[in-house]
Amino acid sequence: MKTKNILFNLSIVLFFATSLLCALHSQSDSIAPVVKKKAILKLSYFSVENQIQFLNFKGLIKTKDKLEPIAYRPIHLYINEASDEKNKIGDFVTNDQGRIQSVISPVFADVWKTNNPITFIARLDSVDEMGTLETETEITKAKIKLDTLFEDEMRKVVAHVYTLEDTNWIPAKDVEIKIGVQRLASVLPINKEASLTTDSSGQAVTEFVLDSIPGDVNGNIQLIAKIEDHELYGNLETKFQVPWGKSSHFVNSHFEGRSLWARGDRVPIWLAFLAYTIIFSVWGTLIYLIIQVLKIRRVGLEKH
Amino acid sequence: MDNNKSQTRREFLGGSLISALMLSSCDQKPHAFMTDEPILPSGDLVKLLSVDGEIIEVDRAFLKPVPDITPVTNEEARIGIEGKKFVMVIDLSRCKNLKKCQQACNHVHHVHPSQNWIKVYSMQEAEHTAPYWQPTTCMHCDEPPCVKVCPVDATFKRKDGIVLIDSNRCVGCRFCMAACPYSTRVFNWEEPDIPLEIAQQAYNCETSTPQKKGTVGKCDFCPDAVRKGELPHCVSSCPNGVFFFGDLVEDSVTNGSETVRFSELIKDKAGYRLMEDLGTKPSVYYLPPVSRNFPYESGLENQAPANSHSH
Amino acid sequence: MNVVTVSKTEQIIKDIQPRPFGKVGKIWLGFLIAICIVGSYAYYCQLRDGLVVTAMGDYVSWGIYISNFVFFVAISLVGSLITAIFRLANIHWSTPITRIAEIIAVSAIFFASLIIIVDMGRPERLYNLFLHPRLQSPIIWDVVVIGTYFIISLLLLYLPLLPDIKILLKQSKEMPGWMRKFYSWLGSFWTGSKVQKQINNHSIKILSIMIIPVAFCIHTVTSWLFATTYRPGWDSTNFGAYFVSGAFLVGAGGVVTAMYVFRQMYQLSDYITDKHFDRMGKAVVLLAFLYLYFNVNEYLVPAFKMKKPEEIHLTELFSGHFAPMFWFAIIVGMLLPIAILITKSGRKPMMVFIAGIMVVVGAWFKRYLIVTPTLLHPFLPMQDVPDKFRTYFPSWHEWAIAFGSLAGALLVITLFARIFPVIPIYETIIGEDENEEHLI
Repeated sequence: MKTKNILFNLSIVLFFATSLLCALHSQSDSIAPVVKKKAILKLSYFSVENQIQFLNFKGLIKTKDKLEPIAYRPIHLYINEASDEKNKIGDFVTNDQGRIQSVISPVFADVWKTNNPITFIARLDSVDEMGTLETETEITKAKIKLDTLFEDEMRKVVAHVYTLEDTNWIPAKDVEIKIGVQRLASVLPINKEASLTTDSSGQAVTEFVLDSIPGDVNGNIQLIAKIEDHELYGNLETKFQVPWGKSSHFVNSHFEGRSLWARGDRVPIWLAFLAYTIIFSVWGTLIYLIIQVLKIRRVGLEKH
Repeated sequence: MDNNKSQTRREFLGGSLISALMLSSCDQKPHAFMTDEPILPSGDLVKLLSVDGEIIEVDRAFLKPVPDITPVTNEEARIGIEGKKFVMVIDLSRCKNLKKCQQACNHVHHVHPSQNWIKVYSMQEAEHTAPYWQPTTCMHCDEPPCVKVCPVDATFKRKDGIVLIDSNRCVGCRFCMAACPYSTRVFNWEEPDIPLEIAQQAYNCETSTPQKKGTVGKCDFCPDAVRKGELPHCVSSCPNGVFFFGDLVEDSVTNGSETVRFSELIKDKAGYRLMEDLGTKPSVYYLPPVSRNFPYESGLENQAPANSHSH
Repeated sequence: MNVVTVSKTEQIIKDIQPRPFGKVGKIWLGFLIAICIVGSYAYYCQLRDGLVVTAMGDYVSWGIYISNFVFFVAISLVGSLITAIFRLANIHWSTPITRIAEIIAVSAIFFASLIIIVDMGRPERLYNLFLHPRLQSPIIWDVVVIGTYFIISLLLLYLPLLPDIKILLKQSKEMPGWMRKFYSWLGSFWTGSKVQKQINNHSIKILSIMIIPVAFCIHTVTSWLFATTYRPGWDSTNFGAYFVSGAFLVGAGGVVTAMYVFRQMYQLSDYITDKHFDRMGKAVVLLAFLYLYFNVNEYLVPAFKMKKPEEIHLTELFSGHFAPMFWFAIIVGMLLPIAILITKSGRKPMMVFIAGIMVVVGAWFKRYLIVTPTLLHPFLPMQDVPDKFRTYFPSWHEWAIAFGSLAGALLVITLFARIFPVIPIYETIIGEDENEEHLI
């Protein structure tokens, strides 16, 4: 604290020599030094059901200890090479979270077929004072096949991962893969092994040990195999429906029934009966009395 | 069993590419949430390049980037998501009062400065019992005392268990605030301090934004995020995985990195709910602060500024 | 009927008929109007800026607006006590004070509904109560029952007024033109024929019976606004009876105060006699004991158990932050009035008036103590909130509006006394008649 004070005083004295205004200005500068900005860009490739493929981009700017999305900025995606306008997948504007999403147009069928691995490039026009920003991702084509197996009186799930080499799909080994059941915004692992690795035949097998896991009305559940952020293959996922779940038919009685916490039109019968009986009997009498007042008036006016 | 399996397989193969496409493409996020609601095809087909280099056609409705989901109508927002029953599990053994949940929640919902929908309490029941940190959201009670007393159906209980507020309906009587034993509701005492572009949006019960002067606000379990297949912001922003969110019907909850069966988690860690004796039947469960990841004291450094911040 | 001499009837009319304001009356009127204007300005500020102008917060979400509302509802109960219960119990001495009681009831209930609108964050959405009513909510019950009570009280004020209107129209020659017009509009059709009298008496009788359950409802339902929540201090099965008994007490206190003021202002000591003060004094003692009994129930039973949430609440009331106000409300609102009025010498008009004021002031603070301390003692600790939400002391806006509404209620009563006789003329004449008959 003391040294800080001395330094502070020194700086004042030093700058005072030039000019008071300048000194004050510099002082405020030294208190809040220019924060270094760092862009965190991520372009990810997704393949769903070995069919649909798309790209996701997310951009953040890191300043000191704050992460801000690169929101509402123009961004361009390219396939293979960014130098050629022909390879432009499209022009986009990031959303409030600094994200965009794009499918790949059939126009690039030839480029896609002739290149493996294939590169995708995201380029942002000048972001603040950081100039043009660029990131790329290189993808080797891959596929997942999901299947089931009944072995040793056990339900098992088998996933095969293949990768494209020249024109042949060959097994991909040592690929980390997650197998689970699709749940709300998540994948529930089907046993304690959180993630598996494919063997030399590109295969990963795991036992299905989820007892009476709720499925849909017919007891169907969606098995899902997922490769996440793989350095070669990107993100892949595929699903497979099996009738291994417990049939679930959820009816929220809280919503349908009459109760004190239900909507106004679902008032409990006893309450409605009680309330309306009281209201109608009291107001019936009141209306009768008001008629009596009118009668007094009529009788009085008749006499005149 | 074998029969069964091959039958399924046939069904799957016969189930046609279309159904697979529909399932997978209705939401293209890596953490895809299968909505049970049928997506109406727009009839507008988009050609795109498949993994095999083939040209496939997909209905535009299935391609919609997630952030573009049109806001639900007020009627839909009052009914909720069919076939779901949302629950939250808060693991007290992992909380060190970082308040990232609170910051994320306040930011997303534009909660008025100095007010909070999520509170992190420093709790100690008695002199010789252990102190711990207790984050609270709205409990989304199954028999909500706040909904019981609302005179105009402005706060309501949905099919999926979520309790929401219609700020276009609320008359600002604040009976719900008096009725809530968890002190979870806040009131917009003045014109909300929010950016103009947010303030000009139409109010949506599911996003709870923009907040309106003279009405009540509270934690909404982020049903808009859930519809998009994302987790509530408190869940995804917590670096310690304190919050688990999920669907009771699916018997599964997740904190983003771990996904576990709800029933097993509650059984294994002896989950409980707050103020069970009041009979409110909350949808938020707590795991006791045992075998903690952090000592209570580690959260104290966050306590002073956040607790006395005033605007 | 003929036994009463014409001059005596004329004397009664002359004594009771409304008179223009004197100097004191005008100052009083100006004073009330000034307070009302300040209150209206405060409300304008509140409409403009929101409820942020109040000192309320997310914990104390109900402040003096609500305690004032409860106070108004309580004091309005007196109409049913004096006019209905006494009437049904065949107590005739109360005739001269029935109109005072009724007008207090009508103006109090009117301002009770007004103050509840003031408390709303969105008063312009009041129509939602009729567009989307939830019969499950005690607020809807309160809206229904307050509306009903208001209509009944209005009828109970109007029907006995009909013969008086006719008498005054006939007798008073110096009545200003606007008043004559108003009177004619209200009751020129009254001829006093047998049929009319029969219908009128019959209707008043029905009203007198009907107002009793409705009056119990209005205050019981108001108590349920609190008792249907879980909070310590409110979570009580005693609450309905506690509120009703308290309401009777403050209502009786209000009536004796008004009786004294009218008697002094309008020189009515021939009509509102020492006997009336003596009897009303006894009634106040009885009601104060009754309310004290329910207070003992309300505080002693939970204090015996000292459940954790109740403990903080009760100790704050008995010996903590709210102790001075709590003991003030108990001692000044109940014990001292009992001490004063329990002796015969204490039931002189002046003393009864002082005791009445004590009862009313004590009752106002009692309502504050019912609403606010509970909200400051929630189940979960008050954390993660701005410091200003941890305490409550009403802002000037709240004071201005609260006093404005009290002044407004007094203004309505004052203006009523300017236009109408505060003592029923016709019933007094009939009463004299009966007395004469008894003498013969």
